[in-house]
Amino acid sequence: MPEKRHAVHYLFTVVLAACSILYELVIAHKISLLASNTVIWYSVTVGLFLLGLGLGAFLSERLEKRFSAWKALFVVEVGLTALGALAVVLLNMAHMVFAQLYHAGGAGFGPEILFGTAFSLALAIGTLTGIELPLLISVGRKLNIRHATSVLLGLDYTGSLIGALAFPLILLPAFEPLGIGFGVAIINGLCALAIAWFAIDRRLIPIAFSASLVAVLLISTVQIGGIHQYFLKRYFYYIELGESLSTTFSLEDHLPPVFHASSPYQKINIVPDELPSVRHLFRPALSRKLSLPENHDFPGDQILTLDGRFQLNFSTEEIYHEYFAHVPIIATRVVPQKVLVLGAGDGLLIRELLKHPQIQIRHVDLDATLLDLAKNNPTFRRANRDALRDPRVDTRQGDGYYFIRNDTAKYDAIYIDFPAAYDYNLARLYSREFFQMVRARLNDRGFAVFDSTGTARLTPPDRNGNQAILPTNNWPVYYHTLLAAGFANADIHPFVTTLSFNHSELVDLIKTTDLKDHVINMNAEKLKRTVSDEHRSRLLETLIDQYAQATIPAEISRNQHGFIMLGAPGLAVSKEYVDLDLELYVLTPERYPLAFSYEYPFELKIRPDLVNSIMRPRFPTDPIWHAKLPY
Amino acid sequence: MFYLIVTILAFCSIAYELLLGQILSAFLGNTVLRYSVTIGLYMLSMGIGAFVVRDRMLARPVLALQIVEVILSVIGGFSLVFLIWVDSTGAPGALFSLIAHSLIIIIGILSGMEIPLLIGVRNLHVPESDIKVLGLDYIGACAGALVFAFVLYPITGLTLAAFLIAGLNALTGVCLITERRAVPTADRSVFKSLIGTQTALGILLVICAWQAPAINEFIITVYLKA
Repeated sequence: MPEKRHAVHYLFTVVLAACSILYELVIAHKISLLASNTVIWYSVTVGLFLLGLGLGAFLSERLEKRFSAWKALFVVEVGLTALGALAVVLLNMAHMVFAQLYHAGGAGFGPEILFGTAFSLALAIGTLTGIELPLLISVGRKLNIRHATSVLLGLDYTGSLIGALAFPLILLPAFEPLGIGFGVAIINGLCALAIAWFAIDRRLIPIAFSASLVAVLLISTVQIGGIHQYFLKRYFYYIELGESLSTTFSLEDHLPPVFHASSPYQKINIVPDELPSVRHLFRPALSRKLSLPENHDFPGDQILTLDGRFQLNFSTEEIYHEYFAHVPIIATRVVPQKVLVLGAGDGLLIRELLKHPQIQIRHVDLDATLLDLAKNNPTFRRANRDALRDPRVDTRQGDGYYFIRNDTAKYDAIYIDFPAAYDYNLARLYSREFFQMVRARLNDRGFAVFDSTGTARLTPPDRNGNQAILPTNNWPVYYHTLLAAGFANADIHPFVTTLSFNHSELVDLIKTTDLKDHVINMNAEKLKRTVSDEHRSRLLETLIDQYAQATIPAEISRNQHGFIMLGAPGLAVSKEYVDLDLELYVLTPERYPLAFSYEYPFELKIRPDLVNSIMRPRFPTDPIWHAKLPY
Repeated sequence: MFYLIVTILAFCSIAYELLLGQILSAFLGNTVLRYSVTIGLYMLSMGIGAFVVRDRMLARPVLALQIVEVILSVIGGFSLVFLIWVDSTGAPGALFSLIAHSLIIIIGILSGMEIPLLIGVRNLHVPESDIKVLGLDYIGACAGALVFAFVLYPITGLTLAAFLIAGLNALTGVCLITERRAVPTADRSVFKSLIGTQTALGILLVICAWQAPAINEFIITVYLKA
C-alpha cells in the first residue's frame, strides 16, 4: 500500500519540522529567561537556525554519498532527540557555572559560557535539521512520491508553522521550557525508533539505542518536578550554594523549595529567604511592620521574582509601595477619586491606595496568572490584605499599553507599576508614545506616577546627606522621553525612596541583636589586643558607632528606588509633609522631604537621541551580553 | 557579484519580516507570540513562494526576479507607514493584525520566489549551483536577523530601517544589470524599463531615508492623534 506509506512519510516530515523549530524556540525562550532581552535572543536564535539549515544542506549532499538515506536520517534523529532534550538542562548548567564564577568574585568566562552554550545548541540543532530535510526528500523520491521536493518542502514549512504557533499559544502557557524540551524530544525519539523498526531492517542496536533513549526521557518526564525544582534552587540560591562548583552542582541540599507558577507572559517565583543574614537584622530600622504585635508571626521573609528577577521582599516592600502610593497624594494635597492602576498585579500598591476611603480603582494587568495568585495565594493575600477582592477595585486582564490607547475616560490619578524596562518589549511601556497617551487621559488637576527604575542610581549620601548621580542612572532617558511626550519641566517631579535612619536607634539595634557579634567578629584582632575589660568595652562602643556610621549610607542607598510623578499643567506640588492619618510603616514626616532632596538636572532642549520610542527603543540601558542573576 | 545579490536579498527579506514582527509586538504586545508567529509564517510563505514559481517565470528568470524585487521594495519600504495609517483610522486590532500578517505572508511568498528564480538565473551560466544559492540565502537571512536585533531596531530605529532596507533592496535589484546578457533581445526594453523603475524607487527610498527623522515625527503624530 504505497499511499499509506506516503501518508506516513508526510506525517513524519511535518512532525520532524515542528520538533526542530520547537527546540529552537525553547532555546530562544530559555536564553531570554537567563539573560533577558527576548527580541535579541529570539533573533539570534532564528539567525543561527537559518545558518544551520544552510550548513546542513551542504553537509547532507556529502553524507548521502556515503550512507543510505534512512541510516543517515536515523543518526540525525537520535542527535536531535538528545540535543533537544538536553538543551534546557545544558543552559541551566551553563548558568550555574556563570553564577558560581560570579559569586567567586571574578566574572571570568561566565557569560561567554552561557551564550556559547546557547549559540552552539541553536546552530547544532539547525545544522541537523538542515541535513534532515534533503534526506527526507530523497527518501520521498525512493517512495515514488510525485513532486517529492516541493511537496515535502511544503510540508516541512507547514510543520514549522505548526510548531511556531503551538509554542506561544499552547505549550508555553502550560509547561516549563524544560518540560517542552523533554516532550518534543520524546516525539522525536519515537520517530527515530520508528525508523529503526520499520526502515533499517530491525537491527538490534539502533532499536535498543533509540528505545532506551525514549525510556530515559520518559523517566525524566515523570521526574520533571524534581528536576525543575533542582534547577530553580540552583538559580535562586546561587549565593548559598556558591561555595564551590561541587556545592553548586551537589544533588542534595537542605534549602526550602521555591514556589513557581508560569503564565504566557512571565515566570512567577516566591523564594523563601529565611537564612539569617546581616541585612535582615536591619529590618526593624527600615520598617515598623515587624515590630507591631499583629505582624509578629509574619512568615519568614519571602522574595517575589518575575522572570527570575528580584521584585520585592514581602517583609519590607512598604519602602517601595508606601512612597509610590502616598508621596504624590501628599505632594498634591488632593486625594484622587477616579484612579487608573496599570500593572501592579501583586495587589500591593492597590492595598496602599485603598487606605484612602474615597478612591475608586480601575485596574489593568496583563497577567491573569499573577492576578489569580494575588487573589488566592496565602502569601500574596496576607501581604496585599485581599486588596484585589475589594469592591472598589475593578480589575481587568489586558495589555496596559493597548488599554490606554483605546481608553477614553479621564482619571484623577494614573499609577503605572510595570516591571523595569530591561527588554525591548517592556521598553514600549516607557515610550514617549505611551506617556503622551497617559497625558491625554489625565484630568485637569490630575497626576500620573510611574516606577522609574534606574533613577535612584545615586552615590550613598555623604556627611551632609548629599548624593550625586551615577553614570548608569537612567534619568536622562526618562527625562527626554517625557519632554518628547509633551510634559513641561515644571510638571516632571522625580522622587526617591531615600530613607533616614536615627543614628542612636541604629546603635541600640546593633547592641541588642546579633549584629553585635557581627561587629565583634569583624574586629576580633583589634579586640584581642586590648588589655583590660574596660578598654575592650569602650573600644567595642566605638567600633559599633563606626559600624553604624558606615552602614547607614549603605543601607540608605540599598533601599533607594526612583519614581517620577507627572502633573497636569500647573499642578502645584509641595515638598512639605501633611498627615493624612494613614497607617504607615515606613513613610514618616522626617523621611518624606528626603524623597525630593536630590535635585535632578533639568534641561530645556529635547535630545532626540535619548528619547525612548516604540520606533526606536532606548531601553534597556544595561549591556546586551549580560547574564541575569536574581538579586 | 551574483552571490552578493543573493545574500543581500535574503538579508532584506528577513529584516522586513522582523520589522513587521516588532511593529505587531509594539502595538499589540506579547513579543514571544509575535516573533514566533512571524517566523512560522515567514517559513511557510517562503515554501509557498517556492511552489508558486511556474515554468513560464523560469523561462525569463531575470525579468521575473526584477518584478519581485520592485514589489518587495515597495511593500517592505512602506509597510510601516501603511500600518500606522491603518491603525490611525481606528481600525479594530483584529483588522490591523490581519493586515500585518498578510503583509508578512506576502513578503514571505515573494522572498520564497526569489530562490528558484535566482537559481534559474544562475543555471543560465553555471548549472547545478542550487546548493550554493540556498546556502548563501541562509547566510544572508542569518545576517539579517542579527543586524535587525543589534543595529536596525535599537540604533537606526524602525522608520529609517524600513527605508534603508528597501533602498538597499531596490539598488540590489538594479545590480541585476550585470545579468543583462541573460535577457533575450525581445525582452530588452522591458528589462530596461524595470531597471529604470528600480533606480527611481531606490532614489526615492534614499530620499525617504534621508528625511527619516521628519517622516518619523509625522507618523508618530498621526499615530497618536487617532
